[in-house]
Amino acid sequence: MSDVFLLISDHPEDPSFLAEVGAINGSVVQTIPDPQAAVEYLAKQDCKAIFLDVNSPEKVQAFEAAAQQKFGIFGEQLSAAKFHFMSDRSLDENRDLIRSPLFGNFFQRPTHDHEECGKFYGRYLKASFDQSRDDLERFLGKQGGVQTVRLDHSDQKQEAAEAVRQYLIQGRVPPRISNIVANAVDEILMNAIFDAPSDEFGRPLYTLTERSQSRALKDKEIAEMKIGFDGFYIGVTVTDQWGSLDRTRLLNHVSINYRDNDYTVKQGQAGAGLGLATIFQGGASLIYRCDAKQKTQVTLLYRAFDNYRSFKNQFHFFQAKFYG
Amino acid sequence: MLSIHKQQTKEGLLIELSGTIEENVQFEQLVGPIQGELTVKCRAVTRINSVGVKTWMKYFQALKAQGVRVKFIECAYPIIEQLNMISNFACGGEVVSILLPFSCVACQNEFVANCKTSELKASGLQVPKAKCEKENCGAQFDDDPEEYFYFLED
Repeated sequence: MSDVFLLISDHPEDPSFLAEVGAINGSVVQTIPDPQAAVEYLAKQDCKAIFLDVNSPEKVQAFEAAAQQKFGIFGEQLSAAKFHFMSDRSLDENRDLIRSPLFGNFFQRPTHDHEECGKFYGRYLKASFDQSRDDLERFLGKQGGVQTVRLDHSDQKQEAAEAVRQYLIQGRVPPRISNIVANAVDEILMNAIFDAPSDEFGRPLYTLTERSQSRALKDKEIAEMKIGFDGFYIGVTVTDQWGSLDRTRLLNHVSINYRDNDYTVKQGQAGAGLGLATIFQGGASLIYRCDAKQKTQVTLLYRAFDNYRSFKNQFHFFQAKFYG
Repeated sequence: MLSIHKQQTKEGLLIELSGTIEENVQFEQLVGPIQGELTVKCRAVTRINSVGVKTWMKYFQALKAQGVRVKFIECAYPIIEQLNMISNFACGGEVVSILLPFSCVACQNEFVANCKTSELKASGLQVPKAKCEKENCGAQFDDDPEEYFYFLED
């Protein structure tokens, strides 16, 4: 029997997008626009993924209330990993959503090429369902030529970012796009080296340490980076061995917008708190998987357009999965 | 890594930034004492990471507090991106000119054109025409004008 993807939306453009996502995954897409009816359906049918239109806060609240009444707050049907929030607005314009216990996956509806975007999302979703290999290798396949680099010194961060830049330029990715990807790699490596390490009580070890500090990374501090490019998509994964990521902090950082609010340089914090928002608003798909006290894996995906304008406006998504 | 070329002019100090602005950059040491106003040429800045942004803002906010007049010229896209993403990134400095990115699919070429912000504002933020050295160049502005000029809007 096929897996079922549930679409809770009456948005006219969602079916064509979801049709591609479903086709790639060999899944049936069941559309039920009414939140209450969708909850009733979920009570009878296990769904592998649930796509929820979040344009209307009232509808989201109606769904949450009905679902929690039916299944309880911790019901298996309400795992945030299953929910895919779809909106016409960007994440920073939708900050209220991050408070939802169902928030795990988010994307802004594509404004064009719905089928192409659906293929992209479906392809990543398929890769993420298969647990036999890393997401990136599954997503890019053999053509992606995924390479692994281990960083055992903090000074290697800038070298790694520069290597990514050179790798992409050699792959004929435009320089401006290559710089943006290199910068994103710089940011997620910085988080893996300085923000992830924590003591046995989960307290961060290097939050107050200047990011310019040069130090050897030993044992659990060693960070791993994977990079691949299949000529169409660029993918980078950085993995730390701590699994210390805090969900609330992550969601706050990724959804902040300093365009309308002044940025204040805070004393007593060595990081800037700007990196994740910059990465996501810069066009990356940003995927987090945190296995508590084991590892945090961050994946960046970009479609490698031949011009910046298309690159910047590309369809992209955010996923945050927390286990354990 | 960032390198700085310094030149004393009649008005003050002109510095040209080149490379990456990141956690190892120490503007105070690199720039040194400033006589008169400070003009910062940003043409060759390739990227700026989040700690680089923080370092930048600390330095230029301190200059503002000291009453040093700062001008930014030939701002490359990494600087424009920050100006558009962080409302107070210029720290009170004047953005005099910016580089406009163009790309031509036919020529497979990317290039930039320098443009004064005063001229852009006078034109109602219209992108000026630009061509590369090839005859049939079909260069197009390689960004969204609304997004790229956001920081110039009143």
